[in-house]
Amino acid sequence: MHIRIDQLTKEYNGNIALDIPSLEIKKGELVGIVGNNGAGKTTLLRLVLDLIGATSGSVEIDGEKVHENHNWKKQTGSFLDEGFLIGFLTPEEYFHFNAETYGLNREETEQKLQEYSRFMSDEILETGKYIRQLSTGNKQKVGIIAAMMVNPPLLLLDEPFNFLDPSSQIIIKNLLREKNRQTGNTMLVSSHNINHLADICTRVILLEKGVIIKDIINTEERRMEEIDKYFNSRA
Amino acid sequence: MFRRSELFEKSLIVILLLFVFAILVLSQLQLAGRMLPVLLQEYFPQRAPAEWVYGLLIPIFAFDFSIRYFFQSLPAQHVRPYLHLPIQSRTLVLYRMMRSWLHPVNLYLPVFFYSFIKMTINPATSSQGSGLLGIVLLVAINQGALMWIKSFQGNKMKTLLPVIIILGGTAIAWSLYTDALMQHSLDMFLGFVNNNLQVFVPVAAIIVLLHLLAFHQMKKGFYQVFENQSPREAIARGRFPEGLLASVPKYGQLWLLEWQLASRSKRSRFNFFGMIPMAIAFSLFIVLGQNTQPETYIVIILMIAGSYGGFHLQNAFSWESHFFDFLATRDIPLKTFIKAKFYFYSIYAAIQLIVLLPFVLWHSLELAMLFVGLFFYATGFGFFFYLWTGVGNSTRLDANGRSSFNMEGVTGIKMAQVMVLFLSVLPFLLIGYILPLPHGSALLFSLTGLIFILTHNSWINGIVRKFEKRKYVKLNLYRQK
Repeated sequence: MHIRIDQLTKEYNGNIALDIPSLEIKKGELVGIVGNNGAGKTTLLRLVLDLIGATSGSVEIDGEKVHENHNWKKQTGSFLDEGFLIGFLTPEEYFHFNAETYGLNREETEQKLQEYSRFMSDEILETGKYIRQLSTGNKQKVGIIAAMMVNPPLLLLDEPFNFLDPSSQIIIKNLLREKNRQTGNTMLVSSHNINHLADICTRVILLEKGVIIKDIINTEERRMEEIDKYFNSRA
Repeated sequence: MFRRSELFEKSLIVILLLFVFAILVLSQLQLAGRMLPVLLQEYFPQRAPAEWVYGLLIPIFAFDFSIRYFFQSLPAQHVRPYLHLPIQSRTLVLYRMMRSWLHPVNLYLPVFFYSFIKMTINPATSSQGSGLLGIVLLVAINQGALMWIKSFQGNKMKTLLPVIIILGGTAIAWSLYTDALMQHSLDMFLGFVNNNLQVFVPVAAIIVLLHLLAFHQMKKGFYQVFENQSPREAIARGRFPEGLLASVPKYGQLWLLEWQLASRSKRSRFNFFGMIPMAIAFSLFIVLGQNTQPETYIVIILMIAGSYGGFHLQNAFSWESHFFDFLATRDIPLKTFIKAKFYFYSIYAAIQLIVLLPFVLWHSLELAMLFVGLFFYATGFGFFFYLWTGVGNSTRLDANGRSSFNMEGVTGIKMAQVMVLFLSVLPFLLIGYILPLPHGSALLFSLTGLIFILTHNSWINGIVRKFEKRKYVKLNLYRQK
């Protein structure tokens, strides 16, 4: 899916949280958004998902403004934070409910879940716990799996590597890369972890105080040197 | 250091209402203490009122203990913030014991006996003050025992066994030696009012012992205050009605979600499943009441008007607020979501009515019609009102923790919503009374309710539009909370 951002601004109490005059994310790109705290990464993702209203400008997915219709929802998987989890369900129930909203039946859901068995590492399914009882890391896994399991043409993840143990970080990194290559789905992933993004993303956008500072095509040769240099100079 | 009060968590309106409610209850207890001697004298003249009540102190305090066991828990929330600080554990245990003493359950018996003693003890021959002190000491025994037993947190056998022994033992002993125990009870109280040290000293010794045991055990299990923050919950694995709900086309998955929300959280479960027993209790009350005048049942009528699903719907969109970002990003039309909610609770309300109706019908046709009218009114106008105001309100309640009528966190607006719906029936009753029609109020309720039920499609559309308009503000407020 194709995202187009036009003259997008978001202000909170007169302070500009995000100001993006123009940005296009083409179908099949795996875009990493990197930035310090308060850079506007989550704000950008929330605006794309129509969870907050823009002060001006618009976000279009496949040519349709997100705040004007809901067609994009069927094509979009997302996980930003715990507000995407239903605490009183078990992970199994949550996956089924989530999959149902995308039109998947029980068998299809079970099948899709198998792809994530390594990532779940026996800590998610059949544990006899509600989601609200899971550890933060396992909650994070449940949210990521729910977003990815339906193979959405557009995937948005906010800080997916947070709270995960090193093995799980590597698994999810590889899963994202493979899925992107196999399906050609568009992915938008924000993170503080430059190395992880450098490893998997085809393009990296650097946000600082709500403004895009750099927009880099991440190739083997360049390997994010520019981003590294930028953060080193500010450290 | 310990000055922070939980009242800071409540809104001013709620504090005020609580204060008024407390005054009301205390004055009722005072009145009961004054009236009881007169009533006992009239209906049970074979013994003096004082002999009756002071002879029954053992079962009275056994009953008090059973109430405490189920309703009084050891304060934990108030202590947790201090566990991180360099404060000696014994200080915190003492603080915890002191907080436990402030529980309102310690108040009702002394307040009742204050006026009862005034009415029954002659100050010229005995000491009323010592009598009241005796009652306070008996309350202290129960308080000490409760603290000790509850301090075995996490060990159900150790908390339950003493209760079974105390209550079971009392019941058996009472049934075998009623007269002797009544006499002992009376003697004990006479010992109090006559300042007999032989009575005071053992009672005081028991209190000290129980408090020391409680202190020791609470200190021993000090870190359980921490550990019990998220007790392990049993996972609901019932196939019925979950399988049945899920199989319903279109609304099935959302009904299932609603069921899971209502049945899997402590507070919501209590409210949700309390509806049917409440209907049974109403039925019994009406049948036993032997009175067919609707005015007699005005409190019940008011409660019914607010009860159908209201316990949940007063939190409309609030409990869901915890996962509204999920709902907002998935292909779940808001209209379907709200309609599913409306149908789910209407059906549940109908079950409540079906339980209630035969009893009422058998008792009085007029009352039955009134209740049917209220069913339509509450499911029609009531749901509309809760859902409509729910859109305007962005309070975020936790179904498993904070919730309305759980006094830690109810907001003034939520309280006001419920009160408005409760009181909205009054004009109907008044107009119905004036109208020259048989069953006027019932017809008015039915008509109003049916209008809202039949037009639910259009007002739900209105709620959806209102929600969409407010969506960003509402979601943002949810996130901030």
